[in-house]
Amino acid sequence: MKAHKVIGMAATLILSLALLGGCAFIRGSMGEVIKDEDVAALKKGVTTRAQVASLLGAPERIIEANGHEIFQYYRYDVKSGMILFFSRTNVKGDDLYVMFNKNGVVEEVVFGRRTDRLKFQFWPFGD
Amino acid sequence: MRWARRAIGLIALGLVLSGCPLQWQRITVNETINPEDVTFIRAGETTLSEVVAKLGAPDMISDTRGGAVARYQFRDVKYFRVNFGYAVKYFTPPGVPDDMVLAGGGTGTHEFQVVFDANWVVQYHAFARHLSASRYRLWPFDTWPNCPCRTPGEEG
Repeated sequence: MKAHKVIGMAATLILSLALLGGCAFIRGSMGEVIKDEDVAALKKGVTTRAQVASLLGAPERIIEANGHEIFQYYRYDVKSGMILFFSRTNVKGDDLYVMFNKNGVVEEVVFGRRTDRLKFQFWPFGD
Repeated sequence: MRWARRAIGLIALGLVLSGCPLQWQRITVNETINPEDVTFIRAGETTLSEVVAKLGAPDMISDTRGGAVARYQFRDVKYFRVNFGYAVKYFTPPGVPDDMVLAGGGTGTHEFQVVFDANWVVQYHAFARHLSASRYRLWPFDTWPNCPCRTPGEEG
């Protein structure tokens, strides 16, 4: 192997190691994953407040709005990337609202999943 | 020899940049909703289910005298830092402080609110935009040196 090729390969290896030395990928989350099958199991006009609590556990929040009791469940996911002097941290959440009628039976289920669109990024400019 | 010089230059650049005195950091929470995303909403017609089908679940639902409010929130934090004392550390003895840091940033917020009546039909909706607060700032002080004027972007 020619000398300049060896030097080139060594330089590439050392440069890669140097760059990776200023590199980090971090992941974090808060709360349990809200499973699609658990959400699908909530039937309007059928499932009771106790059954919801049994299936999903106690809610993170209980809200009173428009005369309805609402159970709110949420989960947050964090992905953070850092390369050299650029770093970006993205946070997204999943929210589930279960609204009950006056008899404590599910009237409406509102669920939004954003964490499946969460990305690792390091470039801090732009959108 | 040209190869060797390039290799040494690349290695030096990599080593210097890996401990670079500059930092741009950004934190974003959730996603922005733009005015064109909410053109389907009609006061007195659109229901909560239809809003959720298009925009997803809100981050918060709260009660007011005028009805329930669904709030979609976005946060954008930008921070910039430069250490002018970075090069000094090669010449100062161990234990001697060598930082000379200027840093600044801001948190921008963006919120879309939808107010519903007792039947979960939209009464009205509105944006609250304060994203301009999110920016990278080199100069953290209120005025420039030897100048009583305020720094750019601080007027008003």
